[in-house]
Amino acid sequence: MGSKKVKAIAVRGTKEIPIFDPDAFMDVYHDFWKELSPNDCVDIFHRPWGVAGDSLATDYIKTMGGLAVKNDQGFDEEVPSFDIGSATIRKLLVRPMSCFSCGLPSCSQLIAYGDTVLKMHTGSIIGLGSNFGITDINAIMELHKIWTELGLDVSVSPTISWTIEAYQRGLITKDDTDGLELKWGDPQIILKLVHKLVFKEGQFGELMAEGLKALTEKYGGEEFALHVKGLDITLVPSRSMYGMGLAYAVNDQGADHCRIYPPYPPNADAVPEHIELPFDVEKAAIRDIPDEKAKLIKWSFDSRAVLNCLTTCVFLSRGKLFSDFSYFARALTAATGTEYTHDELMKIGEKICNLERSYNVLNGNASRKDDTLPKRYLNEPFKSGGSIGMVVPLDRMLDDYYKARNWDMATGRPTQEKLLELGLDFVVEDFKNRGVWS
Amino acid sequence: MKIHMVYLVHFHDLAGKDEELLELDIETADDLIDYLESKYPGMGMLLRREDGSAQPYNTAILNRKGERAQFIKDFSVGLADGDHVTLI
Repeated sequence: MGSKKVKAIAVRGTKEIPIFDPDAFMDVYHDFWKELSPNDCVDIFHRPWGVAGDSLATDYIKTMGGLAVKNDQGFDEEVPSFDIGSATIRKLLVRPMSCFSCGLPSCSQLIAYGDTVLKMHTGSIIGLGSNFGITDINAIMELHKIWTELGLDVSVSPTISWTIEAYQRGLITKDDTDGLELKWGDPQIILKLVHKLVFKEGQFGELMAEGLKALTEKYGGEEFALHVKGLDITLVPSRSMYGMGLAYAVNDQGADHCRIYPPYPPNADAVPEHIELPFDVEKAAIRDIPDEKAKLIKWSFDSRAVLNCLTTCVFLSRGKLFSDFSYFARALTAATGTEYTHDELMKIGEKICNLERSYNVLNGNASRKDDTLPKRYLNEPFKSGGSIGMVVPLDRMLDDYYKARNWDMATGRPTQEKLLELGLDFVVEDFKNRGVWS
Repeated sequence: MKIHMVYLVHFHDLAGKDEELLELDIETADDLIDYLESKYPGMGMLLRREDGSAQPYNTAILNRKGERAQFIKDFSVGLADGDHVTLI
């Protein structure tokens, strides 16, 4: 849409959307609300998030030692500590903000900045703050305001932070940056770099606008380029949570954490007795061991695929709703008149993920060599902080993941057996015709 | 021992502050919770059920220098001088 200068598409209809069984639909709608009541919803994030909003994630990430500092180089004890989190945001709060009819009272927060308000969230705090070595909330807010006006996603942050680190390492010089001296912690430099990127100023600006892959192809520095499959990392820590690392690596979109959100398993207390999860919940929750992460992440991708198809916000898949898709099945059945069950929805999710992978295989972007992480996350352990010594044990988890998926261990491609099991016969024919398995 | 406490959201609202340094004669997280309940009535119950197990809604995270951060699920865990405990 950006290349066509399209900001949004607004549609206004004149007809109603018919619901097959409105009474049954409203019954399950009320059940959703009941499950999401802060007093009933068993989830470590739901209740505090409903008060403090998304900026709470910064507190978790900081405390667990995974805060992205200066191109995610890890904890830096030589600079002032990064104190910004939900407490800071609450002091600036104008009002909490959620989407219309959402079950979460405060998803993000509107905070006061000068004579305006900003919609603040963790991505901005980290992406425009610690990842640039910036510790001043006013500077972060100014960057956030300008970022928003320019229509940028916070995931541009790794492109900018790579540029600064590359300059520090001598891979790029003032000649490349049109005389701009790059250093950490200076919001004015960040603004100038963003300007270059957005308006494609000069050769360097044009290259920045193409993203990290284009930059590293020219200058090197791939080992600290924070992207997967060309998509900049969204800075949810992967060295601090091995499951997140695996999810980033195998995501067919590239490094987007939202695809498997939430990036942790359901609370064992919240899983109904009749639901059998395909992984050991207790082990899957231990963030610094690779055990059970592959099965968890497979399940996460499959189940979130269902939620995305239902256009349901993944932020509200909490408590029982995290693992029990019978609620969604009931809603879909009542809406459409076609019978759905929890198991059927999970199978559809698995089918979606295999179809996505198959599409990428045919377009040359899905193989074991593509399912990887920035070398920083594989080879550079945190030297201090709450995630000390952690690097992502990707190879072992990748083997487990392909096994869980019944994909070829060497190539990461869906097997014929798996595709046929899922009713994707046409993909099998396509693969055969194009010599994918030859 | 000195314990650095960080209070967030509901814990902040009960304590009336973001953080504080406590100097206590305690051994375990259970002891800490007992102290917090006496100082900020209601805080202990946010963390610990009547049977002594962790409340599923809230989180206590222990940071100790040189070690990885851990969620405190079993409050019999020992605390040490210089520990940081974050309550969310």
